[in-house]
Amino acid sequence: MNASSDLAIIGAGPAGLAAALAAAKAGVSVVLIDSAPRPGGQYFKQLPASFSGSDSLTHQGEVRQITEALAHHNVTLLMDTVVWDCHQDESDWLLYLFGTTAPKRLRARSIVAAPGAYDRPVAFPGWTLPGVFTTGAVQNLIKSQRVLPGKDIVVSGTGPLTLAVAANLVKAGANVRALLEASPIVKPKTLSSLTAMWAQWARLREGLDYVSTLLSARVPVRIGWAAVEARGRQEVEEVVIAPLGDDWRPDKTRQQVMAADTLVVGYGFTPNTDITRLLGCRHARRHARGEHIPWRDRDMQTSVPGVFAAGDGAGHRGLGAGPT
Amino acid sequence: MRIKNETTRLPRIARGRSLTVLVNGKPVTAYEGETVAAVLLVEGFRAFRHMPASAEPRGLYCGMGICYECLVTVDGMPNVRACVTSLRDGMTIEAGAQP
Ligand code: FES
Repeated sequence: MNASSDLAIIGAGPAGLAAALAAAKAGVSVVLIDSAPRPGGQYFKQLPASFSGSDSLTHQGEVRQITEALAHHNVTLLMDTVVWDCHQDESDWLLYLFGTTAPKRLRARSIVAAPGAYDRPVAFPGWTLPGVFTTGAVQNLIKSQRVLPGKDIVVSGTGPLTLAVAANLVKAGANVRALLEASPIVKPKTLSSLTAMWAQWARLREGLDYVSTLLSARVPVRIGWAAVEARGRQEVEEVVIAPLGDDWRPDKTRQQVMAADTLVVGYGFTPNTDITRLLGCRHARRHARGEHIPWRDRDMQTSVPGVFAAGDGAGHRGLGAGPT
Repeated sequence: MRIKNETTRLPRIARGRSLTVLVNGKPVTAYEGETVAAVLLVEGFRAFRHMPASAEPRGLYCGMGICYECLVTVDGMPNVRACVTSLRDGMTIEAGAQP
């Protein structure tokens, strides 16, 4: 079975969903593709469809609103579907799909790439040891799979997501041994520095809720510290932590060893450029962040005519960027 | 390799219907909607596999299909990402073996 549409959108996270709705309202036929079983992406990560119950952790309501709106328009959702190749065919694009319900090929006039972002991996001794997880992995386990990743947990990194993960772990009953914020300037107890340092984070009320969860659970918070090593034979047994200098180099003379079975690491996100590279888009390097993003004109069109890029995968930051 | 069991299913959620999967030949009860990674963690697996040459243990890392650290064998098919593979009744999962 082959199919065709005016527009193929790759990625059904906040940006892809918003793009689908905007395009459909303009009368464009849309096929929205995502490798996950449910729309929402990582930020709006949903419970599995077979799970039910009150759900304060995910944003079920927000996704339901958008998908219900989409149902009134000419939008086909292809979930559990991977785009494994695409190329130009005269003035169209041919996308090659793999998925249980998907057609093998999709012909589209234009493409919106909304692939999102993933945790920027940071290497240190022991970072490949089982029990070292990214913040994204732990958010998925707690929010969607509803499984606790471990018992005695150290959370290390920088930015608001480590705070969210630590608070969610506390609420789920884990023993968070420490929350380490690598940036020496952030002082999570003062509201003004929260707004200044983490300005990209619009959801300040959630942030205050996380802070109060950590305070009432008496989770030790260390500013200017980071996990510098994970130790263990087959999995994490100990985490070595150390204070960082101004250049973020650890001061090993003051390092400490904590017993823990789990280390959660989060140093922000890096755009996923797999699909825009596959599509042949030109990318620019952002030196300060050490990442590549697709070049775009004012209409979010990439260097390849008919291919647009939106959301975190195009270098935006955080929720709220997508819907623009 | 099964080391210890600190991973637990969280309460206050109704999971999907129960199903049985075989983890290294052992029947294990799990729930529709769970991933292979989730059931392995609940069963006490941290090392999902070992590197062929160095025998280093590897397990779940990114949890979203990006890093390919979580590879296991599912229904005889090697190199399947445990974190993005949903369980099916009767599925066989091979994980954690030393090379
Ligand atoms: S944990 Fe990264 S692909 Fe599965």
